[in-house]
Amino acid sequence: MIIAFKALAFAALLLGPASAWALEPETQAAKDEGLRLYNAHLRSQAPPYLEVAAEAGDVDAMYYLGEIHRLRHMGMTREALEWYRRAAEHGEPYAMLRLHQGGACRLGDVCPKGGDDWRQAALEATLPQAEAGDTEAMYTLFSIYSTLEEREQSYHWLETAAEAGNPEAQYRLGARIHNDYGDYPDEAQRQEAAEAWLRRAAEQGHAPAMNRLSALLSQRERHEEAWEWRIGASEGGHQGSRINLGWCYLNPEERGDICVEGQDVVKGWAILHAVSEETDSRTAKNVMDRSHDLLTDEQREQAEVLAEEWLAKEPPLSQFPPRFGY
Amino acid sequence: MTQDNTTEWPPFTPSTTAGGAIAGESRHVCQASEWVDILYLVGTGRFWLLTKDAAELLHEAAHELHQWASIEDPDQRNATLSEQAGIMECFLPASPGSFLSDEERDRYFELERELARARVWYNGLDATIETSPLPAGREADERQRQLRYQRQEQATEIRRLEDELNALRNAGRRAARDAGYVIDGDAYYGPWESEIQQVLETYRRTRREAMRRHELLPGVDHDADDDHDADDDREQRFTLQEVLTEYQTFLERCETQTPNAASAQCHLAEMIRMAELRSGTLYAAYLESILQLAALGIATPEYALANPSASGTALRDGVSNFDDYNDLLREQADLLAAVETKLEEWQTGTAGHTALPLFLFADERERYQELSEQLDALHESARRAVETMRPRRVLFWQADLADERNAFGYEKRRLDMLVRNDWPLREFTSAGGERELCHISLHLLMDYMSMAERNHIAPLLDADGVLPATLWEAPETALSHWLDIKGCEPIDWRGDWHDDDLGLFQPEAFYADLDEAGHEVASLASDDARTRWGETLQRLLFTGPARDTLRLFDASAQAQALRLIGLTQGNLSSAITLDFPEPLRLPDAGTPEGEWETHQGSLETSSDSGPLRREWELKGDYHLVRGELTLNVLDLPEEDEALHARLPLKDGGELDLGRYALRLETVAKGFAGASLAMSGTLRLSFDGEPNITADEPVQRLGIGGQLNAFVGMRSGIEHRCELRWEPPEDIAMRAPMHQAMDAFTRRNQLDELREWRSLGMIAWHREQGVAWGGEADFHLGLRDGKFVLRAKAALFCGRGVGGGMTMELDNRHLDLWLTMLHRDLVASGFERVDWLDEEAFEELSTLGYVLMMTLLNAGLVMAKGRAWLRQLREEFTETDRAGQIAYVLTSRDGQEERQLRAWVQQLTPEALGALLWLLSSPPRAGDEEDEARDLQQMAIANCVGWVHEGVLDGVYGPVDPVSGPNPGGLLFEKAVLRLDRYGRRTHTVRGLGYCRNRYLLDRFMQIESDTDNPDAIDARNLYLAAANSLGRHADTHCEYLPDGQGGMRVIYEEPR
Repeated sequence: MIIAFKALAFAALLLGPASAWALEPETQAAKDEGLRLYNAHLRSQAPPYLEVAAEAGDVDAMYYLGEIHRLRHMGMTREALEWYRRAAEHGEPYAMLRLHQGGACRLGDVCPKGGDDWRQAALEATLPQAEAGDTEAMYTLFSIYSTLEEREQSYHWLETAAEAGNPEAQYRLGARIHNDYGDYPDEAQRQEAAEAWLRRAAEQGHAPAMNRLSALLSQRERHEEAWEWRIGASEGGHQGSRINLGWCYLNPEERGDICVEGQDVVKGWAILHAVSEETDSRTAKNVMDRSHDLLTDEQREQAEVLAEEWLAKEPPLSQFPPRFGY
Repeated sequence: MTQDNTTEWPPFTPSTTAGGAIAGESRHVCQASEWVDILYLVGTGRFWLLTKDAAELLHEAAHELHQWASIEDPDQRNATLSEQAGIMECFLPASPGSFLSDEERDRYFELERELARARVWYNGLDATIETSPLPAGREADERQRQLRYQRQEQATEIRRLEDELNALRNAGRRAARDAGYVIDGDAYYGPWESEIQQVLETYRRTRREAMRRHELLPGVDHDADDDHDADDDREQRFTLQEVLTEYQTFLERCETQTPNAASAQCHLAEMIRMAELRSGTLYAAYLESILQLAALGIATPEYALANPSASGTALRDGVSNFDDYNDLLREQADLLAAVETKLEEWQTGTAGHTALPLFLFADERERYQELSEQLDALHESARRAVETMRPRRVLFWQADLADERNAFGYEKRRLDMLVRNDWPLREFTSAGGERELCHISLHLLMDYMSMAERNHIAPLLDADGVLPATLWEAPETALSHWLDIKGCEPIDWRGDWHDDDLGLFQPEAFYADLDEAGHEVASLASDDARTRWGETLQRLLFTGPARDTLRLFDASAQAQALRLIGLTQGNLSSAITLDFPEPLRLPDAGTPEGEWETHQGSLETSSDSGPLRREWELKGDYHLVRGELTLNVLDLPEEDEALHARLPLKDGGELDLGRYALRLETVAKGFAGASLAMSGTLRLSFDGEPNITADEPVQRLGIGGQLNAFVGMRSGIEHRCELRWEPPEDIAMRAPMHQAMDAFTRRNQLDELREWRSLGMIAWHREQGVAWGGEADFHLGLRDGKFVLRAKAALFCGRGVGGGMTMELDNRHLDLWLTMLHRDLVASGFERVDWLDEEAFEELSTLGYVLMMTLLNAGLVMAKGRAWLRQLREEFTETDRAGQIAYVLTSRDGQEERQLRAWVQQLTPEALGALLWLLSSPPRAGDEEDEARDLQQMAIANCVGWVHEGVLDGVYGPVDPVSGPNPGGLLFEKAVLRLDRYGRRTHTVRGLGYCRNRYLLDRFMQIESDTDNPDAIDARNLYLAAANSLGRHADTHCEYLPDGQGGMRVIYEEPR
């Protein structure tokens, strides 16, 4: 079940730069709901909301409509092309990169003004801002240079953005280091480095970073600390963290080492019930199904009342799909 | 055919008496310049001034023949016409086999069938050899070798059969020649065939050219209405539509008025006079091909849409359907060319294909959808126009946008027919005649002749033969000679009696010449008589475009035969409806001819007692001047009476293939029309295509064999046949694209989902006996890159009906066929499906894979043809895209997820194997590998989980733990065995392949990430539970032992 319309100002902020001008409250509400659905992987329901915002000139909404249409049929459809084009006209660099990837200029005659390479257009629009100190722009250059197949420049800007304090860049850099990026004498030092970046992002309230940090800390057997960050991530709307919390409360034995606090089946059920209601999560449902008998009917009723509190939490749950992901 | 239906028509025996009394009296009486009557001998370009004697004899003979032709009982009429007039002799074409002894005859027909089967086999082998991919490995090599050997064997067999058949054929022909027959079937029954073939080719060529260079055609000027009649020094260029519309208006007027009067009321003459029509331009050739096809009984889309009745239902305001049609085709052609170039660029480009440029095809796709809908609407409107059109034409609708030629093209029907060509019928019009057109049999007239005259005339009959179909000035000698003997005087027809524009006959000019020459004709004494006969002549005599292009009158012997019968029902100009005395019948199968032998499971229909209906009411419309008979549209069967076609399974169950119905529209020309009209009983037959035939075997004394009366008529008949289909309920419910709605809504809207749809047109494709595609009752294969369905007639009409048909499938419904394939794979435990050949299976399998990925519609994916389909499939198995694909497969929601789930559940083992292979490939280096692997694991869990859910939900049939692996389990097993980019088996030993690949898959699924993602953890659990359940039968034979080097040794134990 999807919870009713939920207005939220945070979502836009988390996803990237807000539009240059303020939207009318109703339009803003539509955009927020559209982004909530998009972020909760309920993409197919998002267009009606995002279209309202996009038609009002919101660039984020245009870009995400492009993403939705592209992902729907796994390719650059005409609808996707059209939304990306509109977003690109408003200077949105990621839309320009998508236009490049889909061959918009070469195959569809949708070209940047005075040129034929959308990557260059994105670079031209972004580089001056980055050089002027805009950390968001710096982080964007990571993707732009990556698309230009200039790996060195790409990581240069990722690091620059991270050092300049951009939480998304810090998170991405930490995660990459954790995976395999960079040269470190041993695994312990790699983890140290990754942790440091993740922590810097987490401390700025970046939910995916908090989640990733908690995973890293768990891996390093620092479960108490990990648990705190997991709660932080959950509070920031991170769906995976929220489920992990609920799972731990409901059935710590099944979830394993990461669980720190004692079992609280009612709380666990309440959390998972709320997640399932809000995002239709299969995992939440599966965990509940398997643990069904751990609760009495009475406890479940109690939990479902408690779930209302979790449902009312802000910001809403999100999978935090990257702005320029798959 | 049984002896019981055999009619005995008394053979014609020429009279041996010395001639009638009238003949004796009137010999050599010459009345110089005073003539009793005047006649025009049709097809000869010659008038005759008649003496009293000749006139009386002719009218007497014509009266008598008319009486006989008017006998209501067909059997009696035909017997009389045979015995007295010798007319029926010429309706008894025969195969050389007919003249052989009983035993030889049986062998002859048996050989024909064997040969047809052998050829089908040979062609099938040939196609397999030519189209199979280049051999890779020993196994494939061996297979090719075997196929080639079989082909060679088959060729030897064909030669042997041909030799034996030829020997018998020659013997039959010798016997036939002795009985007075000649080999010349075409002259009677098929003179239009090569013409149609030729004109169609011209039409296609000029249409293509006209689409490409449309600026050469006169444009549509929508503002021109105001000054339409304004004087203009420049010659007006009329558009194609204007000319075609005007032409049809003219034709309709001609139904009730004389051509001259009709012409006076319209602009046709003015249009035809356009200079460019006479100078061989593209426009002229295009227009002429359309008009010629119309004259041959075929309405092209342009012709049908130009019909005044079609424009009333215009799709868009102010723009007629006709313009729409042309615009649509032109747009499509431009679009295709542009997309083609771009696609090539894209394919040869080096850029990483991270986002398929679907928009390239989106234009096309959207427009395809739009165009299809508009074309469907236009088709409907053309169909309606054709139905009201007088004279009615058969609609030739070829709107296949990707490729304007269907898989078959127009094939000329081969005739190997023996006929008698001492054709005795002559047609004339005379001012003093009883009717506008009179017919005589020279045999009958000979009864009135003296022996000397008769001896003179008889050999001339043979020399005349059948007057050629299109000649207007045939060198007729038999009747002409007799008229000469009788003192009559010929007047040769002259072109200057016609107007210059259309070439219409101007009676005044003719009469003036007649008067000037001093001929006094008693029957033309009154003005009234002159007017009356003048009107008749106007309907028969043409020159210039009216004759050659518009063919306002058909003077051929065949048309004369039709008019002999048709004129017993009314006048030349009246609308004559023919009520057939007997309904159209569907005969019992029992006739070996056209019956297919069944080797791969026979087809059943739901009624135990065979078809629900075996008879249809049949009506015809004569169009006498054109020598045509059109039949009412036949629904075979009516949709609400259609039967469910069922394919029996080896285990005793059966598969519902849905309900099928044919729509048949027919125009019969010349002899075929006359044969239809004369035949007492008509039957519906299926022999490559549905056909209406008369089947009246006639026993002829002195010839020895049985002859098939009317057997040749099928060649003079043009059909338009559409196959309609109502998908079975379970298919409509299960089809993935219908999963966008929930089960409840689907159930409620089942009628809509199952609505009857056109599967396509039955191709004009004729093959004897067995058609292409092996010997199954129901078969889907690929031919020229298109899906072609071949089915036994029993499928449509019920058990016990012989014959069958072949047709190209409309790509738009391929998704439903995919669901049908899935269902039947389930029924066969994912072994081979009998009704599908390997190539078609592979294509459908690929299509399923691509549709699962893209959720696009089948027609749209197929619109670009097979190359594009393959390209898409390649893209979707690139390991670089595994992460993206996994992301989409795990994040679709709502109806998209429901459709995806249904597609995954309905994948073939080949496609599912390829998908699992892709998703279990190592994530792309450089990306966040942990996240990617999480997604890939989640996607695998989704797919395996969905198959497992499918088992529980009954997608793969009822769950029965006792009877071995559920088909869903088999799908999983076989997919795991095919863990390969192209879904090929990775091991020859099935069990070992499963064990090994299952191990690889499990190993991939066991890799834990550093992300703490609960969805991935849950997915791993889900996968293991589902895979263990699906694979539990196969798993019992797998054993895994550590190999001591950190790996695992996979052991497969052969089941005992």
